[in-house]
Amino acid sequence: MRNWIEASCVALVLSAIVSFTRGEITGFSVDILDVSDPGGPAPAGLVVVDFSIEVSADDWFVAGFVTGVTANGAVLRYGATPFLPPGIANPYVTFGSAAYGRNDAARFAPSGTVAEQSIFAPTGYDPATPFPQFESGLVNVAFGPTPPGDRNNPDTPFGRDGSIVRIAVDISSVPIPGADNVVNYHIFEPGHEPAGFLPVFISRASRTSHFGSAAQGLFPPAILPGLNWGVYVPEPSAGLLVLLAVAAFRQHVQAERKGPSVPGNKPKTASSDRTARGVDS
Amino acid sequence: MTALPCFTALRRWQPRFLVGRIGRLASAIGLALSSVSSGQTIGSQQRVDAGTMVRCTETAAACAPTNPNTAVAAWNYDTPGSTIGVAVTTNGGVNWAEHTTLISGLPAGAFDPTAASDVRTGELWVGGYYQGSPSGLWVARWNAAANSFFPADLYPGPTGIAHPVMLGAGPQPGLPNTTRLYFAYGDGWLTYSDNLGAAGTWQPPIHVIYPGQNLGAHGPLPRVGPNGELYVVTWDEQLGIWLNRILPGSTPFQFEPPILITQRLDTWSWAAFHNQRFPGWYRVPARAFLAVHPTNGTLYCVYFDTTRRICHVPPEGGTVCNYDVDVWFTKSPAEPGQVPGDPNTWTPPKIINGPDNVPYDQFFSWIECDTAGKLHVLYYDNRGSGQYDDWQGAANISAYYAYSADDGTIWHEQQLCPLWNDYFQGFNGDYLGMAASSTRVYPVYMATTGPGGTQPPPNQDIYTNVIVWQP
Repeated sequence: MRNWIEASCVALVLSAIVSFTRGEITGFSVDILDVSDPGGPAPAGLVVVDFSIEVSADDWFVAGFVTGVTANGAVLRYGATPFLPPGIANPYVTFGSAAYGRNDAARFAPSGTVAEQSIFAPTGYDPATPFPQFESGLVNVAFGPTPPGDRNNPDTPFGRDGSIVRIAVDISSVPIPGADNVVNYHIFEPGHEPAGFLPVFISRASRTSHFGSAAQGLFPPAILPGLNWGVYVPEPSAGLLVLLAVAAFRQHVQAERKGPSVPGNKPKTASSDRTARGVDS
Repeated sequence: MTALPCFTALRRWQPRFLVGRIGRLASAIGLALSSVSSGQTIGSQQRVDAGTMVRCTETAAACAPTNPNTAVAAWNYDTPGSTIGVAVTTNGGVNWAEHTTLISGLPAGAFDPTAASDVRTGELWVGGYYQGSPSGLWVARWNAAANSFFPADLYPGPTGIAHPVMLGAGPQPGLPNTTRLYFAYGDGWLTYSDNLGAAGTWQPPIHVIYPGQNLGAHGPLPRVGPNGELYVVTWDEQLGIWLNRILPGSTPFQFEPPILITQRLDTWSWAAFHNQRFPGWYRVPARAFLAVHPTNGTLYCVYFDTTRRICHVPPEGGTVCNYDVDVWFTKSPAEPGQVPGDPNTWTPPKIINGPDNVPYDQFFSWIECDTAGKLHVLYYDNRGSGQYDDWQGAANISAYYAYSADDGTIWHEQQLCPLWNDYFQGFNGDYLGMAASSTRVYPVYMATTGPGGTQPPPNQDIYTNVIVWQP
């Protein structure tokens, strides 16, 4: 039995929500895996993207959410057990994990202890299906670490930042000149991509109040913090205009590069939460 | 263990509500009984579904007031590619026959069960959402003469955001001798059929939210008053619970500005799971549920909310809080047509579950009002489990039934099944359902243990306890 009575009310907290110490997810990033990243680059024909979070020191990653669809001939690649950690030998697939370093062995093959959690994925997220969906053109899942962790267990990964979702997009059938080269891919907030860019994957919630990729700590707020983001490739015809747009966007991101922040009720964009590497390398 | 916990109000109440709320809270707790009183018999836990090796979640039910011995129950078979389960009793709950595979045209990939009945005619429907190309809504009407369902009718089009979906039935506005079937879905959309839900008769959808109102409208639930008043309760995903209505004579058929039923004390994302407010690890959308008195039109609303948080400082530091979630109730004046757009016309919300040795939680509440005006509420409850809010994974919960025979003043409650363990499966549905007539009530819920259960844990079965009221 838990001990809220036995604790004899050492502290009486007087009024409102704000007076309580509450942990939370404090930041997000989305980044295309490339040669400069641990574990990169992805094999030819694949664009691999990692969605990562930062967690306050008094909380830990409790649940993750991602919904996304492919476009323009791209398909999602999964492992043998879709979305579960795929094993060290098969890292370039779509999967979820507890928060780990991007190329940590435990991310791909966790031992399943509280200190080294695996995940389970019981339901969809958006749509809120009673089961997860792992299809060639759709990923829709709510998932969380297992064992889930316990405030009273010192092994619980308090404050551990890391990657929680990897999206692996097979681009070998994208019929756009230049689309076979991963360096041509960029991440933008859907609807805010520069002219001439076409999506191959979009993670965006159907409800404007939520995000395509999100995470929660122990005390979920009314709006789960997260990001809407997409992977885009330029049409060749966009030419110089595209290059100018990318350059301008990078400047914009650099200008807004203030480090992770706490998303509130106002939806945030991928660009405002992204590190520079999150734009592209 | 009887030590009095220290507790704090989750949120400061407005002073004008303070006395009323505390008084009513005390009244509710003091008057609530630990078991039901005379006038009815609560049957034992009874299996409804016939599934094997498949988890069942999320229930819906309806019965025909004109023939209370007939009732439908529906639920999710919780595996990819499976479909909604549907069972019917025609002998007052003695036996349930599963019709899942017998409904012609029932689309694959269907989930989000809902059910409705027409008080006037006794017509029964089940329905839900189906995902495919295209996605949409489906509904099947019970054919009593043939002891089967008519083929399912589809309303294709709504996709993605279309669910949750909820049916409601009653007279067309101002035409008490007619029937209109409503389908509310997604973020506050509504369509209707004046032809018993037949395919091709669904009207273009309208938005529940009054134009210009920047409100969320999660979990819209349609209910119909005796003169065809249409009411849809919604949750704005923040603190507001709203009544959206179209009264007879409204031209065009458009919702009025919404009426605030109440402000919640706490809120959380509908998608959040492993929510520390609840035992176990699954999502618990904070929806509100509505019932309408079939003759005088009074509206009754239940929802579950955090009443207080109980906090302590553990030896390792920080602050650890347990959330006490209860089932809250409020009702409108007796003449809904006279409800002004003023939240003060709704009674101050009060807790209707009985003493629960705080901070045990009550949630997934559902309310029905029968033709005699009795109120019936079903909810989950982890009372006595030794488990409060947790980060342990599996939940220990049971189902409770509460009723009021005096318009919501005094409530009585009864535990329907022993505590059962959900085995950390991550989903227990988004709501529960119940069917109620003046003489028979069918609360429908899930459990992993119970008589007649054939599925090994962690698979949940569907159960009911038939409650028989003296005429």
